[in-house]
Amino acid sequence: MSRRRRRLLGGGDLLAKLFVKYGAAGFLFDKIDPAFRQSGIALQYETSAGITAVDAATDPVGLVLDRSQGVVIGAELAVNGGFDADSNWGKGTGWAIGSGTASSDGTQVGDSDLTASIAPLVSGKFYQAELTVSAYSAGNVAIVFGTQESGDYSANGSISKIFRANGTALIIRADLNFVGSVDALTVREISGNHAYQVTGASRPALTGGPPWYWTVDKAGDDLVVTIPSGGITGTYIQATDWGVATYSVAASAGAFSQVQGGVYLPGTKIYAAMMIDAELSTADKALAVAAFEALGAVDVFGSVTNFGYAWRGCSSLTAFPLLDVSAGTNFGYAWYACSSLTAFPLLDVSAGTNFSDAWRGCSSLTAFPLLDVSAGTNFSDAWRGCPSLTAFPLLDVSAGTNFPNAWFGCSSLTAFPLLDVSAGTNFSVAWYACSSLTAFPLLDVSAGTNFSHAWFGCSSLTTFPASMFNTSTATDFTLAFDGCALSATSVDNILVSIAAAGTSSGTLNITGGTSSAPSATGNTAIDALRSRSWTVTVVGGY
Amino acid sequence: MSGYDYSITLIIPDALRDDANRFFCALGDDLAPLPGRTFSIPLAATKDGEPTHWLCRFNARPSWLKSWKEWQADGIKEPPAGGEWDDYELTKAKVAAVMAGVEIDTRTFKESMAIDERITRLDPGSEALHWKAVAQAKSLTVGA
Repeated sequence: MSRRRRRLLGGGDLLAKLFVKYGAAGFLFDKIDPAFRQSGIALQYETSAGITAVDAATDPVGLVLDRSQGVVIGAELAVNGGFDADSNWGKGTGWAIGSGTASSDGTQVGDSDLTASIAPLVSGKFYQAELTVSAYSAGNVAIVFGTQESGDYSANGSISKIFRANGTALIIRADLNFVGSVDALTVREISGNHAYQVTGASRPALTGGPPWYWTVDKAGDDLVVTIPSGGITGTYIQATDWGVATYSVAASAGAFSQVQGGVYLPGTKIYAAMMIDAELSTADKALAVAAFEALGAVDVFGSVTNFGYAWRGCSSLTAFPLLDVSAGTNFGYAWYACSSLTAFPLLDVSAGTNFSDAWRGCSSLTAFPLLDVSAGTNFSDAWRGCPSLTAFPLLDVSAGTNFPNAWFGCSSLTAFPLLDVSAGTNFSVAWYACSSLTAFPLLDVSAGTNFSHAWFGCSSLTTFPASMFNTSTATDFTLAFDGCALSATSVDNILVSIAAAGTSSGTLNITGGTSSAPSATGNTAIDALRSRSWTVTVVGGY
Repeated sequence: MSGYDYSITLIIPDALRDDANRFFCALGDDLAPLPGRTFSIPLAATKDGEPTHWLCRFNARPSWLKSWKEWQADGIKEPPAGGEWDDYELTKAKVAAVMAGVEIDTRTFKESMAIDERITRLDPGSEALHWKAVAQAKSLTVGA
C-alpha cells in the first residue's frame, strides 16, 4: 500500500474505514476470530437469538454483528432500569422495588415476572442488555426478551447479553426459588445489518484458526442479512477458500443470503464478506481485496476445476469480475439465475467441457462474449431463458454433442449464427420459443438424432433452409416446427430434406402457428415419408 | 461454547417432511415461521427427479444426541420449546411418526475426517462429505 493511500484511510481498520470514507451503508463481517471484541462486545453468537457467544471451533454461527459502522449502540430503552422509583414495572408475586433495587423474596410459587410497563423492544431487532444481580441467596433469575430467556443466573454479578428480540416484552423472571436483587438494567439497540440464521440446521460452523473462517456444508448453511429499505447498490466482496471476488451488486430491500442460497457458494469456507452502498474505486477495491487476502483467503480460483453451481442464484450481481477460471472443466449451473447480469466478461473457460445450464436464467444478459468454449461437449440448457440476448456470437461449439434446451426462450434473438454443431446428437427443444428468429441458417445437424420440439414456438420463423436434414438419421421431429410462421417453401424444404434422408418410422409435426401448408412438392415428400411409416402432420391437413 | 463434537445427518421421507420441520420448531431448533425449514435439501433417485426424501445436517453437542436417543426410546411428552403440540400443528401421533421415520447418521468429526484422507485436522469441511456419503449410501442425490 502506498504511503498516500495509507494516510487517506488512516491504516488500521481499513475495511471499516471504507464505509466512513464513502459515507455508505452496508455490512461488514471480517472478524471471525472468536476472541475479537469490538467495544467490548463479541460479534458472533451460536443462534439467531444471540445470548451465547461463539468461542470455539465447530460452534454453529447463528448471528454475526455487522461492524460496517462499528458496533453502534443506541439510546437507553429501559425505563426506570435503575429501580429508583416504584413505578414502570409490573410486579409478580415476591417482587418489590425499593432502595434502588428490585428484589425477590422467594414467596413466589412458580416463575414470577417483573415486567416493563411499556414494552420497549421491537421484534426482529438486536439489543444489548445488562443487569446486575446482588444480595443473591437462592434460585435463578433470567432476562426475557419477548419470549426467550437469557439463560439462568444464580450468583451475584453483572449480566451482559446480546439478543434478537422475538417480541416486544421486557421481563426479569425469578424462578420458584430466586431470592436476591437486581439493578442497573440497561437495554439498548445495536443497529446494523447483522447476519443471522434462524434454522439450527442451516448455520455455518466456526473453524480454525488462525486463520478463522466459517465452513458451510452446502446442505443449507446460510446467513441472511436484511437489506434495509432503498436497497444497496454498490460493491460486494466475498472472501472464500477459492479467493477474493469483487462484484457489482444491486441488492433489493429484504433478505439477502450472505452465503448465497445455502447450497451454492464459490468455495466451502468464508473468511469475510462486505457489501457497501457505493461503487468502490479500483484502488479501494484493491485495498479491500488485499485486506481480505490477509485474513487467509488465498486466491486459488485458477486451480479450481469444478465451478458447478458456484454462483447459482446470485440474482443481485450486476457485474461479474474477470476471475481466473482457466482450470475449470465443469461449469454446470455456474451462473444459473444470475438474473441481474447485463453483460458477461471474457472469462477463460477454454478447459470447460460441461456448460449445462451455465447461463440459464441470466435473463438480463443483452450480449454474450466470444468465449472459448471449444472443449465443451455438454451445452444442455446453457443459454435457456436468456430472453434479453439480441445476438449470439459465433462460438466454437464444434465439440458439443448435447444441445437440448440450449437456446430455449432466447426470445430476442433475431438471427442465429452459423455455429458448427456438427457433433451434436440431441437438439430437442434447442431453439424452443426463440420467437424473434425470422430465418434459420443451414447448420450441419447431420449427427442429430433428436429434434423433438426443436423449433417449437419460433413464431416469427418464416425461412428455413433446404437440405438441412438430408443425411440425418433422426426420426424424432415431434412438434419440432409447431407454432412457427414458415413459408410454403420452408415447409417444403423441411419435408423434402427429411424425406431425402431415407429414414423410417419417424414423427414430424409442422403444425400450429401461422405456417403455410406445403406445396405439391412438399406433399410428394409427405407421401414418401408415410410410405416408410412416418407420422407427418402439417398445416392444411394434407 | 465448545462441545459440538458430532456431525448429525438426518433424512426424512417426503411424506413426513412437513411434520418433521414442525417438530424441529417444537424442539426450539428452528425459529423460522411454521412449518419451518430444517429439512431443506431434496433427495431423489436422479438429479432431475422428484424428491423422495429430505435431508439436513448440523453440528451437535453430546447432550442433543442423548436427548434424541431418549425421545426415540421413551417418546417425547411436551414440546421442548414450550406450548402444546397443537401450537405447532402437531399431535403426539405425528411426533411419533416423525421419530420413527427419521434416519439419523452420527459421526464424530474424527470419524468424518476418516472419510477423506485429505482432511488432516478437525475441520467441519468434512461435514459436506458426511451428508453426501449418507445420501449416496441410500442411492440418493440432490434432487430438483
